[in-house]
Amino acid sequence: MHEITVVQRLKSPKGISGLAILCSFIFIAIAAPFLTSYSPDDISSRPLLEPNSEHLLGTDDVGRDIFSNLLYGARTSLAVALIVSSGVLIIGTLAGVFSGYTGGNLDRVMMRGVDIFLMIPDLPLILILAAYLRPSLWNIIFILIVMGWPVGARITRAQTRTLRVSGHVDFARISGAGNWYVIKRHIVPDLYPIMITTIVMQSIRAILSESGLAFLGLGDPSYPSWGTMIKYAISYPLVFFTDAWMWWLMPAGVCITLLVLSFVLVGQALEGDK
Amino acid sequence: MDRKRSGHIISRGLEYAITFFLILAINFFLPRVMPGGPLLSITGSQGSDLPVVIDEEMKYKLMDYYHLNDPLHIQFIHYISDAFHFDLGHSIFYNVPVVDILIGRLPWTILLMGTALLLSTTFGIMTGLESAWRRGGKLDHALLVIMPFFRSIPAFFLGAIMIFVFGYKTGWFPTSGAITPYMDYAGPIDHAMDILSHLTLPMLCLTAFEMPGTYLLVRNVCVQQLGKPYVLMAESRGLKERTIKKHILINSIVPVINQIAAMLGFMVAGAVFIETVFSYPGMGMLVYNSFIERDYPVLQGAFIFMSLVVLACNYAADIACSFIDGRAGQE
Repeated sequence: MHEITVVQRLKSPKGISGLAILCSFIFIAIAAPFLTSYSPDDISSRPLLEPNSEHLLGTDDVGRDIFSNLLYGARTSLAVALIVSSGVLIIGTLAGVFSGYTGGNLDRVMMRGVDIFLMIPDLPLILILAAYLRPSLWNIIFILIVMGWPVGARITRAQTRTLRVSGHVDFARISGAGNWYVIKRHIVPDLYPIMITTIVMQSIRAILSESGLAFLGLGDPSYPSWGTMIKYAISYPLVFFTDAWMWWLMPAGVCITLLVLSFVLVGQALEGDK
Repeated sequence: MDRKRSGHIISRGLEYAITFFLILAINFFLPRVMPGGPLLSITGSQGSDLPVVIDEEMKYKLMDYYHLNDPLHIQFIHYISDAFHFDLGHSIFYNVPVVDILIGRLPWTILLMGTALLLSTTFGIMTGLESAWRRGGKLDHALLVIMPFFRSIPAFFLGAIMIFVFGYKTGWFPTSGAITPYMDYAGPIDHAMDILSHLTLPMLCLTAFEMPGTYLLVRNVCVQQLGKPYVLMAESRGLKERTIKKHILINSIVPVINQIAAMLGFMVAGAVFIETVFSYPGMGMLVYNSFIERDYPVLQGAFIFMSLVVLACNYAADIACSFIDGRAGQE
């Protein structure tokens, strides 16, 4: 039943346009090797070329093809979004269901902890962690999951609290169902809409954070990232005085914006805005 | 009722105090669980080709001086007591106490974040209320597209575009720094104008970063309020639109204040990006620079300080809300 409502909601104009953008990015990410003949790390030509038939968006200051960097950057962004959001989903749902279903003092302490955790300015803490750890994509993913799961836990917990006292759960428990059975059959299936929201929200956060951290120089140098591209484009002194900003700076920024926007639109469609 | 309120305020205060203590604890233990040691750079590690510049005796003297010989819990007590005496250590890069650097950067960040917060909250509430009032209308639809769009643009990219458009192309505003050197000799009005023109771009950028969140929040809260019977009652009594809006605003101000305070930590992240892009000499750029220089004491000091300010603001919001809404904390 929930699947149907989700599908219906996605059929709004916002949902469709969001999904269309998202799907095209997924296509780009998967088909990247077929769309360009250059590897993103290859110093394939002279530096700072203008766009031409061989290099659709020219080359950057060390001679790497910008277009292929852009395509492979979609891979990094989407992979980070996928892993971080599923990590947050799993940990957040487990913690939220546990906290909400158990209730009592444990629940209160956990939720106050989560509230407080959400208040702490996370970016300085991420920078501290990253300064101690090595710059690798897995470390970034790890940090983003660690900093993100409380958000997932809180909304899951709120829904679990509501379900915990609703009629069908009471009925199942009176009929002799055990805790585990109730959670598996009657609580988790009703959490599916919230899970989708969590995935959408966490994907937005992951994409923006990953590109932001890459922009600050925390990125993994072995994976092309849109944030890193913007970082190098801005730090190149002449980028604003020539036309280079058009094919060097803008595409990466526009890609981040579009990808995030696609998730935002899907999220809005799921919330039921027309 | 008053006793309940003060009890509520005190218990919240304790929670924030515990949080701050936890932040200090994270700051203390994090470097100690990470690989490497504090004297590694001067004693040299195995396999490092750096020359060893001190002998064993000197090493023990240093370790003694920094209390590194003490057991961990004694070190922790030293750490906490130093923190409460505003001693956050010595910067490796600038070679001055961390607190001095933080205090030097503070005015700029307060100026930037304060004005941006003021603007984004004012306009966020105005647009949110208007959008909720005309929900389903053209303005509402337009805002519901524009605001998420601004939320989707990464702050640093928006900053770069602003630098390009308003800095390089039109030349209206300076693109970096907070003040022209030696401008303080030019007289107070020119001085103020100079600071203001440097502030404009980062402030607008931070406002654009913060406003969509405020807008969506206000809109959601106000839409909920609009469904309540008192609004119908007010409408059927023929009250003016202005009056009804005022009622709605007063009734929805508590969650709005709480949420805006809770989003401050998020805004700090925006400030780090934006100050970095605009080279604005506030706390955010300090965090970035000390990260690049691996200036751990400054990085951690800035984190402690920012957390303290964010927690203090949240506490202030809690107190304000308990005065606005007498029911808060009475369960």
